[in-house]
Amino acid sequence: MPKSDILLRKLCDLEHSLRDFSIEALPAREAVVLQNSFFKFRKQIEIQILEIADEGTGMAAIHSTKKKDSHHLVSQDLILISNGLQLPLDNIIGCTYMLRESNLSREQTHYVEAIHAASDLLMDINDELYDSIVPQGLKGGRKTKSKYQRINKAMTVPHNYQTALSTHISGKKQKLDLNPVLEDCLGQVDLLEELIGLFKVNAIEFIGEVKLHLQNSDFKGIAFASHKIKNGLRMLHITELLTIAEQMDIQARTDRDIKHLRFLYGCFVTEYPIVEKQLEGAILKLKRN
Amino acid sequence: MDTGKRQLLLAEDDQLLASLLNYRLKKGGYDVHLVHDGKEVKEYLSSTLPDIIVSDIMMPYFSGIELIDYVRNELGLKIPIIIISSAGNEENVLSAFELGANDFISKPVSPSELLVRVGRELSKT
Repeated sequence: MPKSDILLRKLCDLEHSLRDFSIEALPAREAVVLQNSFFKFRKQIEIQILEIADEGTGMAAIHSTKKKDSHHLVSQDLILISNGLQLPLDNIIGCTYMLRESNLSREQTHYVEAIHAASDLLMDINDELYDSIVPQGLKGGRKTKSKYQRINKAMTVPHNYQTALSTHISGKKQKLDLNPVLEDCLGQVDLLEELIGLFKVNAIEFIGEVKLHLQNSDFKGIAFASHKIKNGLRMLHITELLTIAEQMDIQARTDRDIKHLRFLYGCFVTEYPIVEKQLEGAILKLKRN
Repeated sequence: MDTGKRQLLLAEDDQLLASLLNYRLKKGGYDVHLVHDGKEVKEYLSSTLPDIIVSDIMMPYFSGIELIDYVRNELGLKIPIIIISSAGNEENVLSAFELGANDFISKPVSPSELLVRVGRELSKT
């Protein structure tokens, strides 16, 4: 029989004996012997069960163990949370990829891109958290992006995403000021209206043209189309669409990231009807005046 | 028909800018012929000799650079040529000057500035 079982049985017997024990029936000498025996017994129990040799160092050991344990538990909890977040985030990103390939309205496309960008960012934060807890070499099967990849991405894609998204999501639209163009038109509202009509044709052509270029991964075509539309946008002071077109032009000539170009194109397509309405409103206002 | 006005060939494929410049140049007293690509430029020059050419650098079929080369070297004409160029297109502007362009104006084009430049070039002839 193991020692611990013997001890446990003896403790049970002792507990039974104590039920019949009465301090009043005990002589003084026997009471002292019992007290000493009890202290020895308690000390022995502490040494054997709690592994405490000395009361002073014992308490310090308890604190140190508790501290280590709590730190270890927090880390374990964070790793569990981080691993728990990874799968749903992967699923969200995966779903956005599938949604992109389906037939979506302009508005829906924008929302999908916003979800994608946000979940991608969350994935980076989650990777950062995981890397800060788990030392290199102890990561098991989980792969996180390198710090370089994250920094590189933060400097290029998310920044651009945020620029385009922030203008859209915040809803803080810049008002179109057609007065400088009207001055160029020598105050002729009819001419300005004609120019806006031409711009609309150009914008629709641009949207159709770039869609084809994106399907064919024709970066040269995208750069040329973006370059051309920029002039009209600059002329009419349509800064939001101009920012997107400039980014498309640069992206098509430098990084050539088709996903990012698709995203920018989606932003342009989503943003255009809003600008169109603003232009119509601005012209109406000028006509009234 | 001779209207007594100076003839100006405007080659610009961006219809938005072309319309504005066409209007302003006509208002400025020029007889403007507007074309939208290099092919139309060649066709026009085969039958007519304008007093001045204003051309965009980036055009379909026949770029502004090729246009200067054609006018100066193939046709042997010394008529003033003003180039319209986008910002950041300095290399093309230098090539244009090397081939014989007289002046350039960058986008976004100010119609008033273009009128001044056209007038200045024509006053030299």
